[in-house]
Amino acid sequence: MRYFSLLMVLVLSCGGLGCRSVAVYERVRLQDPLMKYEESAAETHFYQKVYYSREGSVGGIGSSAGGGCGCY
Amino acid sequence: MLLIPHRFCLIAALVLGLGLVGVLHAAEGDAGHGSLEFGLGFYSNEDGSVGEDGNPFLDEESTIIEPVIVFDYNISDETATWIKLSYDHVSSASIEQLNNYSEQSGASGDNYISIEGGLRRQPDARQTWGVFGHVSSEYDYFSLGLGGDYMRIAPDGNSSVKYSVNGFFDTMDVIRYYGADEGTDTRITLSGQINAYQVIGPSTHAEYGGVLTLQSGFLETPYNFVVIEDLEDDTVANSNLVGNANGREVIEELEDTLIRGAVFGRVRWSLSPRNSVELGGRIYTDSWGLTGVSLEPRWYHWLIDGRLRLRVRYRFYTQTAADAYSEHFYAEPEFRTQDSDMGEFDALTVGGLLTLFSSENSEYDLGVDYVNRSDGINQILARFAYRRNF
Repeated sequence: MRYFSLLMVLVLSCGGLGCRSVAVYERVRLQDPLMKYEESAAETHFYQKVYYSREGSVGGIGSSAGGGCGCY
Repeated sequence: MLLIPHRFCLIAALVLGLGLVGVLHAAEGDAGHGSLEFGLGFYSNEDGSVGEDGNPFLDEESTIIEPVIVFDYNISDETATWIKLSYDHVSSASIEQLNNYSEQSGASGDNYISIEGGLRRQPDARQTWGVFGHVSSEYDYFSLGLGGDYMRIAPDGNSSVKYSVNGFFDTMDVIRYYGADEGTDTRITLSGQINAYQVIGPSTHAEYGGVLTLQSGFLETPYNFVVIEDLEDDTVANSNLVGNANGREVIEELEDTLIRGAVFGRVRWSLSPRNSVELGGRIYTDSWGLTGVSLEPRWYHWLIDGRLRLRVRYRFYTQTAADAYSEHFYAEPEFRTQDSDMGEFDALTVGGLLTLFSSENSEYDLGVDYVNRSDGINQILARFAYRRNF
């Protein structure tokens, strides 16, 4: 738990500092499908539903923040 | 007066703080173009040989099949619209049991449909906004939702932040576990979320955010019951309970207000042109006393360059029990639940996803996950999807 908190702080701190500016031509690798963050809409929908229905800690992702639930 | 615990102040500060940070990418495409996706999901969970895992008095075995269709279309170069249709077919041991009562056709509805649609607009390269609407229904449940978001992108394109708000208004028929219909009740959900994106270096970037949700109204599951056991009289078997256990059922009771907060994030590194790794996590806490933490490393790998991609993930999740939860009750407290999903457990997930890029505009997904839970409610998830851009 302590290590996880530390990781989150590092991640959040990096965003707060803005890290270093990376030029467009340097970001080529980030455009590769291995690096893109966008999961498909259908995949996001499926996993949100599963987590919402089977875990008590819901409400952290997307529009399934608590309503519109078809819980299992 | 509503008293807000310290941990929510912390999460609220984080959520608001994130708004001051930089921001993300996203853009509409060319007019007349878009995408169509069809997904088919399968979910199944076990519950021991006679339902003894999880809630010891209830067989929680269930299977769900869920087709989803998502259509996305660019009305103009700046404006896009989308619609998502989904349907769940649910079969479960609890539905079988509740089918004995004429008014109760299923544990949570054996058929669920939802329709969502929205509009996204990118008036210029540095900002986008969107709105969405949601309608869903089951035999005993109806939900309406509305929401919107605004995203601001930094001039150098290295960061972005998205602010989202949404609200849901749910109406449900309060049909109890013994079949009695006690009329309708309502629930309101209001949520605010911030998502940020940050390029950290030429081969590293991160996403993170926070969400705060307030729910008010009828928050119990109407058909859920709690078994009050009688230690002094073990001669009366209850045929409604797993193993004809001794005890009497009473309805589930939970507080009418729930505040939820979570922060989450993930960082992905490109190790080589064929490999990248990701580490993600999430911390959650709520006013019912439940806390959850997840940690999820992922590995992405090109099995065939540009054609076949593999994603392997491992997810560790742990949660503490809600204050009202207990596996066994010997008295009748004001707030009580025996819903195993609100109990204490750990869950380990191992999953793989193959994505085939069959042409420039077509993709296929095939994914399988296995979830091993410490309370025995193990799960198998499988998913197939096809996407086409046009």
